[in-house]
Amino acid sequence: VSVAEHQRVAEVAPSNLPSLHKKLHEMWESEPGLLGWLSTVDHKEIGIMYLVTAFAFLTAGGIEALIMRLQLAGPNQHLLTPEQYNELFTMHGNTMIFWYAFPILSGFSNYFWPLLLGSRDMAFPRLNAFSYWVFLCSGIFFYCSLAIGMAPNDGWFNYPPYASQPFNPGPNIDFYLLGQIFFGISTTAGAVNFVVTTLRTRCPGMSINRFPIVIWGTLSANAAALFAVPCVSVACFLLWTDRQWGTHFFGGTTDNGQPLLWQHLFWMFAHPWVYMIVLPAMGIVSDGIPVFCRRPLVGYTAVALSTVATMMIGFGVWVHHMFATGLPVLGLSFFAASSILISLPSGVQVFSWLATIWTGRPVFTTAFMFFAGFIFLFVIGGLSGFMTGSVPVDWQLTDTYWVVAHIHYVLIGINLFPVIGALYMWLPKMSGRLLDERLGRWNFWVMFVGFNIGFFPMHIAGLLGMPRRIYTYPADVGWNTVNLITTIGSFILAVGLLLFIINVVQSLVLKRGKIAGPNPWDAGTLEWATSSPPPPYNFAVIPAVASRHPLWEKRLQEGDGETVLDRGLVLDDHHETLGVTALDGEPDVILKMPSESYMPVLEALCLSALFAGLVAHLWWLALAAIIAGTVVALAWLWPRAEVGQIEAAHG
Amino acid sequence: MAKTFAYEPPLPVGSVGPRASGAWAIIFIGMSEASLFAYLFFSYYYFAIQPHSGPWPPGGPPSFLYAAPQTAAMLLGSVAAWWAQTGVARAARGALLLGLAATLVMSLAFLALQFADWFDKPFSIATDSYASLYFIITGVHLAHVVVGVVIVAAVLVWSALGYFGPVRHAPVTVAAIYWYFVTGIWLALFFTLYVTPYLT
Repeated sequence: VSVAEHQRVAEVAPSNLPSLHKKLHEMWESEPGLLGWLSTVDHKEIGIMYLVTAFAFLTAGGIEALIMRLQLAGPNQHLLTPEQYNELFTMHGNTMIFWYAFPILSGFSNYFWPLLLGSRDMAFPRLNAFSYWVFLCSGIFFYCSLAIGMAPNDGWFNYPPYASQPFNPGPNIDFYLLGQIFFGISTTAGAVNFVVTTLRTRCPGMSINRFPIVIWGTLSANAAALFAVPCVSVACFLLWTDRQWGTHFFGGTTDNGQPLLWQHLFWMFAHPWVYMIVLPAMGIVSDGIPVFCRRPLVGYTAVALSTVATMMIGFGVWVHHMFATGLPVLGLSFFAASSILISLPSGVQVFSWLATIWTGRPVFTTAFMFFAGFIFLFVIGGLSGFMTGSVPVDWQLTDTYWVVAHIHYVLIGINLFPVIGALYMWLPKMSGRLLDERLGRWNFWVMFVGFNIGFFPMHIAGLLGMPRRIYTYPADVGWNTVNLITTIGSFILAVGLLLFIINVVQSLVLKRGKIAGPNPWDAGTLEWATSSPPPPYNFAVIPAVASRHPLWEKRLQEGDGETVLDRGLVLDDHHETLGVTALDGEPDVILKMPSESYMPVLEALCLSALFAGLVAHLWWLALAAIIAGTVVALAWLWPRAEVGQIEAAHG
Repeated sequence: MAKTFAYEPPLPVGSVGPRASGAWAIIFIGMSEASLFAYLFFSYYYFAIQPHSGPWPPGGPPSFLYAAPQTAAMLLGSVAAWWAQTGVARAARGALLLGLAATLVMSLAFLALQFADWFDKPFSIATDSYASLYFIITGVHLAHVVVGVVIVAAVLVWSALGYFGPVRHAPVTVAAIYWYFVTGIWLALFFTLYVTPYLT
C-alpha cells in the first residue's frame, strides 16, 4: 500500500489474528525509557502522566491546607506569619483549582476517550503531549515562586487593588498572572483536542446519542474552556501591563482604573471554570453508577441535556460572586435568578442517579460507595450554594467561612470523591490489577467521615461570623471549638487519602492485587472490551457499535442492529485510525496519525523560557524563546508525506 | 493475512481537502481567540460607559487616516487568500503562489500602517485608561497579524516547493481560515475603537 494514495477500500478482518496484533504492536508501541517518555504521543501514557502529576499537586495543596489548619487549630497561634498564611492559602487554592482539579479529569479523559469512542488515538496526538508538558511546566513555574519565598499572596481570585504594583511590588503577583496565562495555554490546547476528537475520531456507529455521559461532561467542559479561558488570560495580561508598563486598567493609587473590572473578568472565567472541574466528574458518576447498579442510567437523554445546560447557564451567573460590590439591584436580581436556575439541571441529574440506584441492584464496591457518597455531598454543597444564590442571604454570609464550606463541599464532594471512585473503577483497566476492597472500605469511610467532620463545622463558623482569609482569631469570640473540630477532621481526611495511596502501592506497585481480567465489573461500555491494560493500539480492528452499551447489548436487547467487536476495519498501514461524520458516526476518512515526537516537549520548554524571561525581566531571554518557539513550531508543522499531508510526487 | 471482506465504498486517506483535522483545529482555535478579543472589547465598553469628566475618548474620536487603509489591506489580503485557497483546489499553481504572496504583501502593509498610526498618537500607553485600551487592543491584534505573517510565509515556501495539489493542501486551508479570522477581528476592532466614538 503506497503512502501517496488518496483513497482506498478499507479492508475488514477478524480481530483475533496473531500476525495483526504483532504488526500493530510494533507499529504503535512507544520507545522505552526516558527518551520514549519525553517523546510519547500514546494517549494512555499521557493520561497516566496527567493523573500522576495532578495527584502530586493534590498532595502539595493538601500539605499546604494541613499547615493552615494547624495555624487555625486554636486562637492566637503564631506557627505562621500573616504573610506566610496569605501565600499558603493562595498556593493552596490555585494548586487545587487549577493544577489538580481540571488536569486530573483531563488525565481520565486522555486515557479513556479513544477507548470509550472505539478509536486508536486522540485527534491530535502531539498536541496532546504538548498540553501535558505545558501543564507540568506551568505548575513548576508557579511553584518556583514558593521556592524563592515570593509566592502569590492575594488568594486564588487575586483582587486588585491589593494585587496592584503600589501595594504588592514584589514578583509574587507576577508569578500568579504569568502562571495563569501559561496554564491557560495547556487548557486551550487540550480543549481543542477533546472537541475535535469528539467530532472526528470515533468508531462507526458511535453517534452522539450513544456517547457515555463522561464524554458529554468532558465535551461541555472543554468547549467551555475555549470561551472561558481567554477571559482570565486577558485579565491577567492587563493587570500585568498595569504592573509593568503603568497602564490604567484596574487602578492602583490613582483613580485612573476600575478595580471592579477585574472582578467581572475573573468571575466571567472562574464561574464557568467551577462547572468545568465538576461536569466531567459528574459524568464519571453517571457512567459508574449504572455499572454497579447492574442497569442502564435512568434518563440518559435528560442527563446529557442537563450536562450541556448546566455549562451554558454557568456562563450567565458570574455576578453572584459580586453581590456585595454595590451593583444595581436589577442586575443582582437577574443573576440571583440565573444562579438559582442552575439547581434545575443539577436536580435532574441527582434524581436520575437516585432512580438508577433505586431501580437497580447495587453492588457495594468501594467505587460505588465513593459515587454514592458523592451524591450526598453534592446535595449538601448544592443546597449551601442555592442559599447563597439569594442576595440577602449572600450579603450576610459573603466572605465568611460559610463560603469556604460551600466551595469545599462542591469541589471535594463533586471532584475528589468521584475521582477516587473512578480510580477504584478504572485503575484495574489501566494496570491489570484490582485494588484491595477491604482497605478500600476503610479508605472510603475514613475520607467520608473526616471530610464531614472537617468541613461541616465551617458552615457554623460562617454563621458565627468568622471571616475567611484571617491568619488567626481572638480567643473570646466563640470560634475555638469549631476550628479545633475542623482541624481534626482535615487530618482524618488526609489519613483517608493516605490509605488510598497505600492501597495503590500495595495492590499495583507491589503487585499484590488480584488480576483484573478485561472486564472485572462486567460493565457495558467499550473500554472493557480491550485487555487490561489495553494494547498500545487499543483495538486490533475498529469496532462498530449499535447501542450505548455494546457489551450489555444481548442482555438488554437494545439498539437497531448488532455491535461487532470480533471483526472490523484493519487500518494497519502505519499509524491509522478512522475519522467519522460528526453526528452519525459514519466512516468518513482514514486518518494518518503522527508517531513519537520531541517537538511538544521542546515547545513547552521554549514557553517556559519565555515566561521565566518575563517574570525575571530578562527581555532578551523572552525574545530568544519566542524565536526558538517559532522555529520548533515550523519543524513540528512541516508537512510530511507519511501522514498524508503532501502530494504524491513528494511521497 | 486472511482478510474476510472489505468496507465499501473506498475512503479518502490522510489530509484530504477540507476533511483534514487541522482545518477543524484552526476553527476552534479561532473561536477561542475571538472570545479573547470579545473580552478586550468588553473592557473597552466597560470604560466607555463610565461617567467621564471630559470627552471620551479624551482627545476626541480617533482619525481614520491610517485605519481606513488598514481595513482595505485586511480585506484585500482576505480576497487574495481566498484566491489562493480556491486556486490550489483546481490545481492553479499561479493563483496559489500569487494569492499567498499578495496576502503577505497586504499583511506587511497593514503592519507598517499600524506602526505609523502608533507613532502619530500624541499619547502613550501609560497616559490614561483610553490610551492603555487603545495600545493593548491594537497591539494584541498586531501580534495576531505577525503570527499570520509567519503562517502565510511558511505556506508560501511550502507551496513553492510544490507540496500541495488539488487533494492535499490542508496548510493552505488553515492559513486562509486564519487570515479570514484576523480580518474579522479587525472589522470588530475597527467598529469598536474607530466607529463607536462617532455614534455618541
